[in-house]
Amino acid sequence: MAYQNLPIGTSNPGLAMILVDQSYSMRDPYDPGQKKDFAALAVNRAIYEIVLACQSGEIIKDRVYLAVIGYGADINVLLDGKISEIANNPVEIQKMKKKEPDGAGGLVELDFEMPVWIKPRADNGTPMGQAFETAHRVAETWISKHSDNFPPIVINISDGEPNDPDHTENAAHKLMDLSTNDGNLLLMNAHISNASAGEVALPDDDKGLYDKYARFLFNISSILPEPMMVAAKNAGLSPQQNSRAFLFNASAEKVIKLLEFGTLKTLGLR
Amino acid sequence: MNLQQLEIDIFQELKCPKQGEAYEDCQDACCYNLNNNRFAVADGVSSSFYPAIYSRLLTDYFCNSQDEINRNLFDEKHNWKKWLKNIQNSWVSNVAKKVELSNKYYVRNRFHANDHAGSTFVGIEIDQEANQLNWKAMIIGDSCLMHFSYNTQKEKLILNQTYPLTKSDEFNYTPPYFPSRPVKNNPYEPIFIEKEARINDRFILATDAISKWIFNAMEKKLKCLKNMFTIKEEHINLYRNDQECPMENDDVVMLGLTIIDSSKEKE
Repeated sequence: MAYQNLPIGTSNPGLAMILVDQSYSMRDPYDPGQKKDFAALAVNRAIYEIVLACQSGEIIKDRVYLAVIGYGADINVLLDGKISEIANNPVEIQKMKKKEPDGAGGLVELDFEMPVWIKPRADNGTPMGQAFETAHRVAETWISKHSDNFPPIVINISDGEPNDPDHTENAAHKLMDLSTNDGNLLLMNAHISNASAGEVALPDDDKGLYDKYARFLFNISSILPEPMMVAAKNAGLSPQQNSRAFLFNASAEKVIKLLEFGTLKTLGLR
Repeated sequence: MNLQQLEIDIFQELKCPKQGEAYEDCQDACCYNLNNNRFAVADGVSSSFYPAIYSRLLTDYFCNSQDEINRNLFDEKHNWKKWLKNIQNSWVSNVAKKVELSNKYYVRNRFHANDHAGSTFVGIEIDQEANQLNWKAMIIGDSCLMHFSYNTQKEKLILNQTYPLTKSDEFNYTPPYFPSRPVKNNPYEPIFIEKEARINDRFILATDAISKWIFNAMEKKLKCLKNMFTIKEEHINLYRNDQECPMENDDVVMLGLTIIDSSKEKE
């Protein structure tokens, strides 16, 4: 039975990969800033949560490998390595104050150091197909060294149509054909939008998807295997039988839930 | 029976990290003290904040502290709250020293955010009042206590009862635990058990992975159970990779003890 090698650990690490659209349209507004700001913030936050989930005192245990690929003006493998290496090498640390509940109904201001690995960027077109090809190379290399482990999870965050849909679809299916002995690679897609209506989360068929691009993303998203249904529910999502790992017109809150589901919950990190 | 001197034999004491991890990475702790006949195991929640320090403090304080709060732990129902407070204070001061020396942003962030460790716990005390032997236990979470008695008719050890869980399907990833800082509306409280004990009774205190494996093996009536009292560290990986009844790859701590009538031995 597939998708059983959980929870991941240092002896059977997982691979989480995030693809970030950095095309020009990511300059569009997305409350309270632009889409590119939200995408960078969401990815940095997801990485930070993975770091905390792998922390044991001073040490970061290598329970997971992480890769982040940005695509826009070019294709950039922004991060690719063990979580311990990534945790200890953010590009900067922003010192800030953070308000947290004080446990007595009020708020208390705490010192907080926010690590930053990914900077907002938005230029040119949407070479999503090439990004999938790059993800394929990264995942294939990882699988060659971890063939019995839980298969890689790839989460793609985008706001627009790819430059070449046919090429992108082929590249996505090749990516999903990769597998370990524990199952096929899982591809999740999160389409972010300002549209307040029409949000679709984990659909089990494409009947309600009137947008051509929505159907396209539906087709290149993995069907959630049974063992992941509980993880999706634990992340606050509502999967059905045969749900696809796909969000359309997603709010910031839903994208963060998908990242949490695809990394922490699915891999059993928290 | 006129007992002269209660004696406990430790027949098993094993501690084993997850497969592929170093011994010092093991978050579970085990401790005993034959002077006061207290025995304990604790399982630090691995994703929590400095769980190994906490599980070690819990077991060490329970077994070795001479202070009144610890000595009187079983006397009143709510004494555990003061008892835990002392350990929580120790944990905070231990961790504060580590944070002061740390150059890691993730360590400082979690400490400033009042993050805490969590740990399950089983502690047992065996005592003798007049000629009556008793055992008392405090348990929280899915670390388990197994109580065996010698059946003279069958001439073998029989499992009396397991606490707090009894079946393999009762284990999950979110067991109750002791937090290392006060948590508002903490829903978890330990359970207390007090029972009569007899000479030759055996107790196993074990953290979740090996407890679940034992329950599983019992449910499947597997032969490997015959070796239950002699499991060593080097066997654990074999059981983890067993096809029929695989043990989950988690830290393992197990402590086994037998009550002995030492006066009989002297005779």
